[in-house]
Amino acid sequence: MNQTKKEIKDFLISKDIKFSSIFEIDKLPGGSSNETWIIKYKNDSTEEKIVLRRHFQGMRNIDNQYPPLSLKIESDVMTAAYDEKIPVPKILYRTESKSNLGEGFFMEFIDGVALGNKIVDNNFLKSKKVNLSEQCGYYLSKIHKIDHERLENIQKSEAINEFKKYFEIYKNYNLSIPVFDFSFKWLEKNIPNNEKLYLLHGDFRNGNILMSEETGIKSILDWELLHLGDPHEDLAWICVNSWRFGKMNKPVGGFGEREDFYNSYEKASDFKINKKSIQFWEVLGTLKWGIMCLKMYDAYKSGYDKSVDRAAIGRRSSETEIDLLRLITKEFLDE
Amino acid sequence: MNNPPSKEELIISIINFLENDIISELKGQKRFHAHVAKNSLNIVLRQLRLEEENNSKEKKRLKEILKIEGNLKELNQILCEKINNEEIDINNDDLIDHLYKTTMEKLSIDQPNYSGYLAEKK
Repeated sequence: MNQTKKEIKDFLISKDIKFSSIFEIDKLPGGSSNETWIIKYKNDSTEEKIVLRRHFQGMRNIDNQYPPLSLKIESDVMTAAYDEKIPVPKILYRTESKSNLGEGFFMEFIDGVALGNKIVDNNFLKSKKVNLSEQCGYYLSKIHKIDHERLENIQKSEAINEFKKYFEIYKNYNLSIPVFDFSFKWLEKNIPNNEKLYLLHGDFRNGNILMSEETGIKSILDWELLHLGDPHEDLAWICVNSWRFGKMNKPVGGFGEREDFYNSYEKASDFKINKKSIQFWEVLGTLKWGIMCLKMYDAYKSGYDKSVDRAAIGRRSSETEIDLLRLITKEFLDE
Repeated sequence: MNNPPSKEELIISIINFLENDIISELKGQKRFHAHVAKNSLNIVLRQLRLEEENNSKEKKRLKEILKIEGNLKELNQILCEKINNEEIDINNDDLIDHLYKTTMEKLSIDQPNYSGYLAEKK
């Protein structure tokens, strides 16, 4: 650990002498394929921070079938988003895969609240003067409008690919969960046609959006699942009940209304939202989270992570089952 | 037969210990994990109380739909296969009714405070 801290400090000083004042370097807990480090330094007498994101160095538990997105591509897209005035942290320096630190990048630190259950809290919502759903719609449309032709190596994953990917992961666990098979069968019969591919964030949901009580969205984080695909995927994911943090009557992330979200999205783009496609992606999104719960439990079972929450999370997969049934038989969950 | 306490009483004593003495003493990730530990024990407690009845109801329904004998695991495997190869239509009312009932029974053990469960219960 001390060796890494020294490497971080040396790298930064080689970029800018102001980093000689670094006084604290900490790795944040968690993270599956990427590590996040917070570096504190003094600029004159004020304390400032910078963030390092790099591939997990242990290389254990790396999914060979679905390897994590290259951080070069992630930082390319974040830079493109920054240039389009989408709120994302500015990329400051990149590190090469052959360097001591491995592939990664340094970005600016942005202050705000990202914890989903804090954001849906009444006190947080009441104190704000902006409409968060409208902001989400507006910025999501800006992400989708990024010209991806000039960006390299971005994978495409359409409905059929996403469907197959999660079906395969589920089947590999060799479990018999009839609601999951039922949902996959429904999805198979309802795969939407999609004419044009757009750049998707891939994980646009409450929990990955940094907010402030005063101005709403401050920064959109966690771009590691970005890909080219159907915009409805992003539009539906933030409405999956698992991301409403218990506030089911607020379909957008537990904090807002669908109407505001969709209207502001359509107003800012030339894209017409299709309700049937939203339903498809909301079912697939819900199922994805159910399967991710099993995947996290698998990390416990395999001995990779023996923590009490990795064991317990397997039982949260049944939450998605009731949402799946209601989504498929009643179309939407909103009351 | 073992002497008292019952297994339920033992679990409840640990839940109370975590809740009254431990959680408030901890911070950060350990506090979160102690909280999860308490929730896990509550799941086990509900499972001890409800599992037998839930499983027998689930098995009865599965046998009626599939018209074969077998244990719960086998019957669920066969149901999944039949859904997959479309021997059972996903619009079949008996199937949908069974899936709803089974899911609600599972959640009565796993997460009886889940928003989706409470909404369906209404």
